Amino acid sequence: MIRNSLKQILGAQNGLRPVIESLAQAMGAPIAVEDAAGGSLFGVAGGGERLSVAHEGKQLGWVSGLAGAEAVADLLRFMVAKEAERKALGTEVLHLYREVNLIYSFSEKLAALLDLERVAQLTLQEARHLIVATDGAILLLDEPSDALTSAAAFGDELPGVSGFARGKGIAGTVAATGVGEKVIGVIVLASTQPMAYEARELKLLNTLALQTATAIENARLFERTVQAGHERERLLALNQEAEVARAGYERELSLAATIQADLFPAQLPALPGYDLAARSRPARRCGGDYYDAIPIVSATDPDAVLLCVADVSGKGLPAALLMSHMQATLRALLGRTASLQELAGHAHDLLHGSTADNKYVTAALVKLDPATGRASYVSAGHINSLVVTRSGDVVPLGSTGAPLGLLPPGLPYDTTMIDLRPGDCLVLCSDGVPDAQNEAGDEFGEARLTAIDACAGVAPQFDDITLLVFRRLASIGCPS
Amino acid sequence: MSLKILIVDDEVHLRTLLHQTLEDLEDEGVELHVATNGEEALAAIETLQPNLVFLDVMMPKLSGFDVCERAKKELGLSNVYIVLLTAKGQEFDRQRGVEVGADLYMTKPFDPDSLLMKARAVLGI
Repeated sequence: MIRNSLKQILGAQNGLRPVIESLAQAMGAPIAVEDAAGGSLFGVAGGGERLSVAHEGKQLGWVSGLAGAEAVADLLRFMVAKEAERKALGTEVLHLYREVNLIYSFSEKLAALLDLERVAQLTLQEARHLIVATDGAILLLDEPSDALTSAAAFGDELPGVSGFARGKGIAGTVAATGVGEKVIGVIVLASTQPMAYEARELKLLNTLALQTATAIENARLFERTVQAGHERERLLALNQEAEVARAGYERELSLAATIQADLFPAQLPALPGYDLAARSRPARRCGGDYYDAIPIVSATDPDAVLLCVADVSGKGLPAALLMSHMQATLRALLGRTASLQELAGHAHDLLHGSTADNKYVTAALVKLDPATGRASYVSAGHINSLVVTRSGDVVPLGSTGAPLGLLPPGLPYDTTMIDLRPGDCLVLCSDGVPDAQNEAGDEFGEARLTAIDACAGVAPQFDDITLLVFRRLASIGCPS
Repeated sequence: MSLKILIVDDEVHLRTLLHQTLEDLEDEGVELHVATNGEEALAAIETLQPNLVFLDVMMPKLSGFDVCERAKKELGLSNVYIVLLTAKGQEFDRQRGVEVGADLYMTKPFDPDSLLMKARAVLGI
């Protein structure tokens, strides 16, 4: 309500009091002014007509006097009307001040928000301070689907309402016809009471909408940045997990490699009259190849020696364990079986009974009597071994039975007998030797056993390579 | 003794708007006084010893800073609560405000609601 009182108009800091004083003097009669309650504001009432001073139906006071009261009353009425006008203008300006300050504080508050929903809520809250509304919502446009979804809402009508879409209804039309660089959504204010909104309110809402659009874009950008950060953290965690797993695998491999290294004989037994050499090189840190040379100490064959090259299925720790198993089996059976084929049969049964179905070993076994150069040969599914005679002929030795541990027990193994004459050479190898490939994929083949690395060049080794070679020396009492 | 507020601004519109904002307090017995420049303000502060002064900073001759400093230091009226009014967007020398002993500063265009609230708080009504 606009305050208006005669007391103010006649107040100490107002110029009207001296004017009325001089009017009263000029008229030669006293003038009295009272407020609405009859309290004296000027002069002393001394009779005469009592004239009302009112504004817009509100009694503000009285003027009385024997002469000139009408003129003073008119003057006061005029001043009251002028004062009312001035105050109405003042009120309007103060209202604008209020708006300016609200928009200022809105901008400041918005700048501190990075959460989209809170931006939308704050915008509606501030809009309600500036514009009368019973219902409101901020609907954001989803580009591909054209749907308008609520980011914040208030009132009885709008919250929970879905199905807004670009081009549909009032909000949808605004979304479809919106001006500016890019429409990101619609701000809705409504009143369930009949309400004539004015251009001023539209302008205000526009100001809020522009500011909130920027804040919403910022919030979205922030959200994306945060999400990208989370994704990076997730990947980092995965990386760390992988690193831990890799380190575990690495430990396992190094354990397997240690087990394996211990399985190879530290030193090959001395075999007078023979040159014996063996070497195994795994493709990776831990391979599946095995070789051994074990003197057979038995009553029947006091000088005999068992030579063997084997290839166990799989790689890594399981292969190392299977290899250890294979070695223990061979050594346990050695000297307890009459023949090499019997040894192979037992080893097969034992391995089959104590390992999983998919575990097996291929092996080339040679039992040599060094004194005579006579040897029995059993190949349990192993690749060909070779006899290279002194004259350079190459005689392949094929498989004489199935891999150890693969098929049901009780399999027979055949034996091939060999007579090594002085200068003859027996070559046992694993399939990494003939299968070794160069960059072009050409296989080394059996014929070129002596130059594996020259053939493979820089191509990575893809299978374990094991070679055991022994040659009967020509000089020991043998006819040439 | 009644509570007094002194409004100081060289611009008539601002004086009017400040007055209009604070008018409600007159019903509660608060006297509103107005000064239109620095000298007038200083004289009014000395004679009226108001409880609260809304003091424009940018005034010719005697600025709000000068008025505040003299009132607080020369006249020793440290119990007069002085609010400096400064234009929004205009750089305000806060340090100077502290030095001259101002109690608060507010920006113009002022928010009528917070201005009135502040006045009530200072006057304790």
